Amino acid sequence: MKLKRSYLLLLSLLVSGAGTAERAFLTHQAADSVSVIDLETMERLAELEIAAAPVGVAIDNLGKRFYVTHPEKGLISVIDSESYNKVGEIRTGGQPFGIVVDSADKHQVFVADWERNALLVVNPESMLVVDLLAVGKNPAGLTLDSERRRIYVANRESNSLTVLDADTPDLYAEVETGKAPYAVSISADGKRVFVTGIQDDSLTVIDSQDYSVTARLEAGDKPYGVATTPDNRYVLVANQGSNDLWVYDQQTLEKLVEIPVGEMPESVAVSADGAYAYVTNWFSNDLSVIELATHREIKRLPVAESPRSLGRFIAD
Amino acid sequence: MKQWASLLLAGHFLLPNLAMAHGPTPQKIDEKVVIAAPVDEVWQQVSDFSAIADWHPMVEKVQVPEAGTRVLTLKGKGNITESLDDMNAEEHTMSYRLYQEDITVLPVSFYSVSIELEAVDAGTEMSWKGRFYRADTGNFPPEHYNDAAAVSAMSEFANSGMAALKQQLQGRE
Repeated sequence: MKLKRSYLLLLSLLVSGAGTAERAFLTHQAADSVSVIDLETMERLAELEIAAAPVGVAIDNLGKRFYVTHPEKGLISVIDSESYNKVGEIRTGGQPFGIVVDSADKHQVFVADWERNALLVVNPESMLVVDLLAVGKNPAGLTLDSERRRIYVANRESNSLTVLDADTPDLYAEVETGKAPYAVSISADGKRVFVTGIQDDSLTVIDSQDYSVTARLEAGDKPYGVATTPDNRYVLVANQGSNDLWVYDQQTLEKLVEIPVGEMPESVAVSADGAYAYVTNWFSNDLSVIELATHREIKRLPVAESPRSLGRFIAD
Repeated sequence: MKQWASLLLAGHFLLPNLAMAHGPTPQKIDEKVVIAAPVDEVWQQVSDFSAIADWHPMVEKVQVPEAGTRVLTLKGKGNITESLDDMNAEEHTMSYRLYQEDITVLPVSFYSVSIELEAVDAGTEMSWKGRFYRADTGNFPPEHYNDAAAVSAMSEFANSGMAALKQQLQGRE
């Protein structure tokens, strides 16, 4: 019985073709394409042309797909994450931007609609928008706390973070952030939420229990992407103006180091084991690989034009 | 869809967002030129934030309402205002941004530009890097306010400026 199960597991790995290596899913805004990079070999597994100006990305391990937002087209591309064939398109209208997948209790997809100042709820099975919830002005990045069932949405033009329930249309809080909040990340232990503020070079730290602002930290010049590590040790911020990644101690909130990356970095994501961080460099068209143990950039991989990948862009 | 959500949607169509912020998809230019002159000489010329009219053929005049802010009058067009973000004499880099736009003067709603000089064998490599948004950030911009128009205007401004600077500095030798 035991043998049979491991045989089945092996078979499923072979069928998936992806093995266990993590992959980066990159949206190339100016090339109208997405590419997939094997993060072990650093080889490009696929690059496919899709609708114009892709920005946000979310990987759906449950549905074996990934979703890419096209704000300019009012639609989301749905792509098979194993065959890399296009599955379909979700016509949302508006300007879908940040995107996140819920595959815990419910299978659903949340999308920030920049133009309609709303959070869209999409059913990934029917590929239809099933709900539309009001948030602040020009929502950009968002994140999901799947355990506590909360959604956090950064409202770029209202300098706030909206906290909503992931299952019911309940609003818990609208928290004041720094100026022009862009990306959001929650700590692995669920205790703290981090929001970048592009226009006042800030990183706002919010207590997820009572939604109070714990601290407003200084970030580099024009902070965009933010990510936390699975061991609750670091918070990472990609600064588009100063071309670097700032590493903070997640507990003491002290800045530890500034790591130079490529030009105009936008998004940052951390590997599941917490060993590496990956940064998309929008201007210089490359992907920086940061070794977190040594706080060093160990590789800068050239990729297609204008990688953005707003969201957590890596997965198995 | 829930009824209140539909009402919210309807409300949106009745009250379009007139004061539109810039859209979500920036464009970029990365223009370069090699000038046969020492990097310090090129830096001296470009780093004077108030003196761009001395070398840029599209700029008729510059007014400086306060330090770090310049109002450019583009020939035959009108005014836009830029504000200085960073000036690094050691690295020979400077960056500034559009502070007050006029899309009839330059069809962009926002930009940030960095100018970088690097000493090379042939003299100085000058880079003009811009990140910007088209004039009409809605999803259906007219042709003269779309991404292509923005890229073309930003490239033209960078390239004509660098070509004139090259001519001026090389001609002097």
